[in-house]
Amino acid sequence: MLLGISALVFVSMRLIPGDPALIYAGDQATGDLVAKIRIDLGLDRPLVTQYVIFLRRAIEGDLGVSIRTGQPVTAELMRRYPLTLLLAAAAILFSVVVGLPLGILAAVHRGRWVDKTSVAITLLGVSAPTFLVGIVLQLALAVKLGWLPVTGSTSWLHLLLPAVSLGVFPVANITRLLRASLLEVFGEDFVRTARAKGLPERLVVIRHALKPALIPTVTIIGLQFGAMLGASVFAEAVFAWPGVGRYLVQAIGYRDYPVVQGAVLMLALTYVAVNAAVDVTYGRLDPRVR
Amino acid sequence: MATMPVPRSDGAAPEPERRWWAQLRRDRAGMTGLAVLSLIVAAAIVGPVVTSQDPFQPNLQETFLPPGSGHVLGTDQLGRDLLARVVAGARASLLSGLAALAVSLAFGVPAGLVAGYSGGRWDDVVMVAVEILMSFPGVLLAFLAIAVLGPGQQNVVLAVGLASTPVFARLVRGSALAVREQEYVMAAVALGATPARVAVRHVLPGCLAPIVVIAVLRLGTTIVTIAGLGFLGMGGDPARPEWGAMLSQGQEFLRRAPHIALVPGGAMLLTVLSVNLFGDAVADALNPRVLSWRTHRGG
Repeated sequence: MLLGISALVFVSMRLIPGDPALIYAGDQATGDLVAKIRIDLGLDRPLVTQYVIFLRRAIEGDLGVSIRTGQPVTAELMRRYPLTLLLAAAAILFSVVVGLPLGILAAVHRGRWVDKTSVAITLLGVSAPTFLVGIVLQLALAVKLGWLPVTGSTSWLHLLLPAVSLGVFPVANITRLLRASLLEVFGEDFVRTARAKGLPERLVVIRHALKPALIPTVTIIGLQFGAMLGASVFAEAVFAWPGVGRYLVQAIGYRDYPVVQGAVLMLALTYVAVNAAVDVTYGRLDPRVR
Repeated sequence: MATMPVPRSDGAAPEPERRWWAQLRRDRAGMTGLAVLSLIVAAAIVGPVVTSQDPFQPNLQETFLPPGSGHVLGTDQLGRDLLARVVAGARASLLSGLAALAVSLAFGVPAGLVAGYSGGRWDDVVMVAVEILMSFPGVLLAFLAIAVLGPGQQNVVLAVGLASTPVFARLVRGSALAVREQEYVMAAVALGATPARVAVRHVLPGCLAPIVVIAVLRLGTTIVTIAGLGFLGMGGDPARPEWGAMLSQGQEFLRRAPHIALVPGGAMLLTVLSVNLFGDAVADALNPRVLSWRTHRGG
């Protein structure tokens, strides 16, 4: 799997029209210089050899140097990576804090106004793109009211708006899923037993229904965290949050391929790692899977 | 909105009843979505009639006009009429979204059909490719495609279409695996139909319901992703009326003239909302078991 991902990224970068040596050398380079760079980069070798070299270096933590700045890509990425992880984690935290209670309330008060509100919220949440939510929040809370900073990343307050705009989509998904799982669990025999023995509804929900209903929800939370790694690009763009996503978009604009390669690889590997962790957790949570 | 169905990739057998249309018509939210969507489509088609203004024509005497002042939705930073631009953007968004879906279907359906029906080595190849492609988070695959293809609206459409191809390949494979075992397919094989004929004439129709459902459900996501790439400046020419690019330009003037961002943003939200309402209704009507929510999305 990891081989497949790295091969796809590597081959994509080689599919780009144009000679990478020429791009590195710049417009005014002599033929000799281009030839030397080509050998330095190993571009004269067969593609498979190049890939093996790329892979070996990548494993050692060497992702090459940026064409635009000449800085090592790995160092540049490591500077931004924690900021993207922080943003994604904050977004998930927000979505859990809002989504879990909302999902429970909606299921318990099925068909009542709380439920209808939650349905409306989730519909809006899945429909509104991150960058649109971001701009509306930025306009309302930062530009008009001045309560929060418009862009940047110099304080904890700066984290709030991008995290919330990123978190709106997972809020919708978590609420929707938890509501549905709870409603399903409410139909089970053990819940009927709990109700029949006269347990207060609150305890029926918390002690009996919630745990089984949370199993699929926890899975979704994990998967959403992975999805945040891709979506964070948009929140980073709106709020000038200097994470991996913003770096990647700029690199695409400048045709800075080693950076594109490194950034995509890093985000994809994190995503795979998160999903693998979710699978393991799922096995632990659900006794039926073991 | 119905309760959440259980995730499931092996599309169910085709339902012989044609009750789905009757059920769809009873779905009030879905019908509202369809009505709003129809209005947007109508506006996109007859756009030039709705507004006499040219969406490209700058007018430096009339920049930053608020809505209502001779221009129904105001003007932007270059004095271009926002109603004309947002209507032109509706046409661009809907067409791009459908085109991207067509790309995913054109690649995904044959790949999935071959994998699911013929099995064996083809199945392994397609599934490995799908697994690799699906291990990129959301829009990252589209970014990679843009990096290769270069910026531009056509490339954005192609990139977004390619990025959701594995979804359809996996879906069709699952459906084809189930349909393959149906008696009518075995009957066709027994009658001596060629594998290609069986696959296209007998297996494919059985896979149509889930394909339609997922395609409708993904239309909103697709429109959002395309707008997102436009927002990030990957759509090429910034003068073109495209909602994502308009929103990005509007962001620069949030303090002075927020309507420049809010008008295309509102149009986008309305469109995606109505598409999703309609999509959920179609999903409920056609096949209650198909997944009606998404964990991946662009934007």
